[in-house]
Amino acid sequence: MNPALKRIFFVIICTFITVSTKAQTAEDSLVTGLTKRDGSTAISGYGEFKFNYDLRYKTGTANMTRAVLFVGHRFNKRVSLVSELELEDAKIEGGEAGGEFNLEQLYLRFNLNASHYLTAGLFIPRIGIINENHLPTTFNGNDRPYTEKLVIPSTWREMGIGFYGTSSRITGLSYSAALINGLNASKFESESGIRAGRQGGKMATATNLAITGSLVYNTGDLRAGISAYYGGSTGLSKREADSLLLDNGVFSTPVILTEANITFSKPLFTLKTLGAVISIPDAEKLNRAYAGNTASMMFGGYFEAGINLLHAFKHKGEQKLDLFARAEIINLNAELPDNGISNEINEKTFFITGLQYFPAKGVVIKADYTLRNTGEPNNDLIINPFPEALPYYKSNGFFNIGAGYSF
Amino acid sequence: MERRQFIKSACVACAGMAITLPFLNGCGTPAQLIQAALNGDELQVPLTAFAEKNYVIVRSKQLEFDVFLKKESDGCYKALLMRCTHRNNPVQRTSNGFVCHEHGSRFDEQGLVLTEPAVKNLIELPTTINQSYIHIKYRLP
Ligand code: FES
Repeated sequence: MNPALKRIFFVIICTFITVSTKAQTAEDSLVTGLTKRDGSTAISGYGEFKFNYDLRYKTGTANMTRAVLFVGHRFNKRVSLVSELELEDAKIEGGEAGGEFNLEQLYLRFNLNASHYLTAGLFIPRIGIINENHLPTTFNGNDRPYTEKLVIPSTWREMGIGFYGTSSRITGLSYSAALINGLNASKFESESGIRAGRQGGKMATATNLAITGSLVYNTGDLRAGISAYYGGSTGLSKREADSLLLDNGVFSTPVILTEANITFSKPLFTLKTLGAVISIPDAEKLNRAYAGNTASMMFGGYFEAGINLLHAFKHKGEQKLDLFARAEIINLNAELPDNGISNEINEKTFFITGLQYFPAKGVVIKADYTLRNTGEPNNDLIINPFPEALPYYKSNGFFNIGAGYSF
Repeated sequence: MERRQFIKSACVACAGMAITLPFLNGCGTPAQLIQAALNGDELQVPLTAFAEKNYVIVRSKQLEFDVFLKKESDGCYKALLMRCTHRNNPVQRTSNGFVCHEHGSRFDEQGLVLTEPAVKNLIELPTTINQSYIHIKYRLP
């Protein structure tokens, strides 16, 4: 085994021995009857569905986007289990595209004290806003921000261990760090960036690892966060790597993602902005090995403003009506290596505006319009050009109406 | 950068992060955090803890969640359990309320929900004053 890998596994094992010893020696018996009983199980969930109308092609789709079932179990005051089972697109049928049944998360959580804990298993690292906070009642629009789908590939979960904490000395500061398996660069696609390289706990290559960390600071109505990710993307054996002229090692062919975000929330309005950059210095090697036309730099960002109309009209009660608008800019081939092929279809802007009505806490009804503009597709990269395939419109609009819940 | 050199620096970064992060929390007990012993099902906080501040965060080694104890302008004490009502994650104190990092719920200084997904306010724990102590009844629903 690679000596660096050995060292990392040794640190992980030591950490767990320490934590589980602590877990077994906790004074649980002293608090019987004062806390939730050991062995208690909690169930909750969230979901969303939508009707989408494509204004250019004049086609509509109705989709049960996702339903997620959360099951949590508390073994004792130090150890608990968090799991989320997700079904996308209502059903999965053999041989048909679409539909996915997956574990969104499954991890054991070890409380170190009231403000620090460790996680182990399949979990979502704190990168951006949506990756962690993606319940449909918490974001505007039927679709999550595209930047947090195409650049930060939310919902992005991997296997590993994480450390989370909040500072009791600096009020409002929290931090996290995680060691997780890296991405699989052989699946990177030009039109979806690193998204298809997520491994999601399914026989993930774990000889390539990633470290990620975040800082979030809340003060008054402001929340500011930064995060970074650095991870190897080729979990190959030396022989395989040599045959593909790639490096093999824990952090070889690294993917580097940095992100910053700010949210300012008042009862009347909310402002939100996020920017993210991905750099893949060895993209040329990846293209030579996998022909995925991977860019060496990608970026994206958005700005969003929302106003609570019922609050503006002094309406009191649990109902809410929000009007929002969001502008996004994404470039998935901002910089290409020498063997990359430019495709301007990967330069996109989105403008989304809509209404969100909350008839009760935990339920939202959403209606929005999305305008998408892209650059010209590179005809050399189109396998079935028009008229075999439908024409591509650089500018297209979509109307969405849908609903979501969380309990 | 050479791979070996990079791995070395990545390990240093990893170790650095592991060492640095806890320091963001500080070594000693911060001014607002006080340790309290559990007596039966009660936490006892000396009134003197409020000599120079109007709130404290009460922590007991035996308990899973901290308690936010605030002296109101009318002289009464209000105790809020620092547990998110969405999925029981600990909430963090901010300069004007509380935030839960798990899914982003926010609560105001009184524990009222500002931002979902939490739909219930933070739980208020009963308090009584006896001689020179504030007694907080710690019993989770
Ligand atoms: S547990 Fe607090 S927001 Fe979900």
